[in-house]
Amino acid sequence: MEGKRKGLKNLGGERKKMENNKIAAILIATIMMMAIIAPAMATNSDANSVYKSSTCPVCPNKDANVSAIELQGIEKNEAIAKALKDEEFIKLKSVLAESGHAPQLGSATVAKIISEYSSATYVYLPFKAKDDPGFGGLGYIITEDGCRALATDFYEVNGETFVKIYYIDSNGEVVVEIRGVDWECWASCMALECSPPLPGPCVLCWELLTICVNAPNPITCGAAATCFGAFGLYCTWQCWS
Amino acid sequence: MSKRGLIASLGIILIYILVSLAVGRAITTTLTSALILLVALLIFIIIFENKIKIKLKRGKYWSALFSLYIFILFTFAVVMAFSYIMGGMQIPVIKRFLAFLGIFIPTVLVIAYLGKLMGLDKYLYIYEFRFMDFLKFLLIVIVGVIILGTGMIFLEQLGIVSWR
Repeated sequence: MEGKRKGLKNLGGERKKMENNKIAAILIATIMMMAIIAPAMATNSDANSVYKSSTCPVCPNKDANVSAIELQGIEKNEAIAKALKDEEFIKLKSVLAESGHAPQLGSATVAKIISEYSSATYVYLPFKAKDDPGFGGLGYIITEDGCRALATDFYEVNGETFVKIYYIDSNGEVVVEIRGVDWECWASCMALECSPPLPGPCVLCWELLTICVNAPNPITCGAAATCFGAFGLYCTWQCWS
Repeated sequence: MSKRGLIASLGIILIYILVSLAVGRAITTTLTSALILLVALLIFIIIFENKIKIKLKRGKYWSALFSLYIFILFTFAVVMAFSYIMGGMQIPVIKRFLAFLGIFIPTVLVIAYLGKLMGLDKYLYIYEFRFMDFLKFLLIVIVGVIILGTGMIFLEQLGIVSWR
């Protein structure tokens, strides 16, 4: 009786072990699939675009019930004058000027934004950088609850576009916000890095993946996963700031 | 050469071509890259696949690792040769490869050492892992990613190499 019970216990252990192996196999297969699929999912229709293609600070939402009308004449001039007198606006203007940007007052635009909940007037003053192709912009929003200013500074490093966002905090200090990971940028980066027109280092990752599939063991699969993972980490760094 | 290995390699090359074309690469350059990859992979399957398997089966862990290194260097030579034939010797490409190998090889050494330390060297096939072994494997890979990724970032920060 005792022996029979032990036998049954062993059988249960074996089954558990097999189930664990199955789970491990599924997880490994998932990682391998992710390594392959991640770049494919990152397809970008514009072949020449740099990683940072989603640089619009506020992307339009097609479903949102919002309308914008560009203002002209006295209304426009009044809004610009109000912005130019505002303390936040003046502070941020000087920040952009210190970065080497010059305001383009003649190109300023004013829009009335009306949504189903509220309405606001938006003043946008573009800035031109001394050294092209960088540029900046100063936005000023006038609502019933108050006014806020926001500055953006677009600049290029090694052909890549970055954006800095400046605003004034509750203590009246200028805050620079560096954007977090832009996942669209990350996906584009992975696709571009790992499908080079000329053989680049990521070619080795694909080859290591094949070795892993053919001879799956800790050395080969560890090397392949690390190779793709390192490019993932690199792209995270690229798309962080 | 096993049938399974050939199918797997061709499958990976097909995905590689699809990814390249999907991101808007020219057909000629995509097919050139795929051809280089195919040549290197076939050479691997013929020469190294069984060597690594047999060495691991016999418990010759470091020897198997050495075979992998030889394969990586071999691939590097093949890719360089094709690069030279197709578009002339391109210094940035060579520089990138050398820099990558410079940090990749010590990284794989660390992965292998940690693998042995955690007792993963006794597995010939990764899908024979138990769940806890798999977690150990993941930990080792994360350590490898941090070393290699940080190395890549560091080299770019220093202005030694640009990966793009």
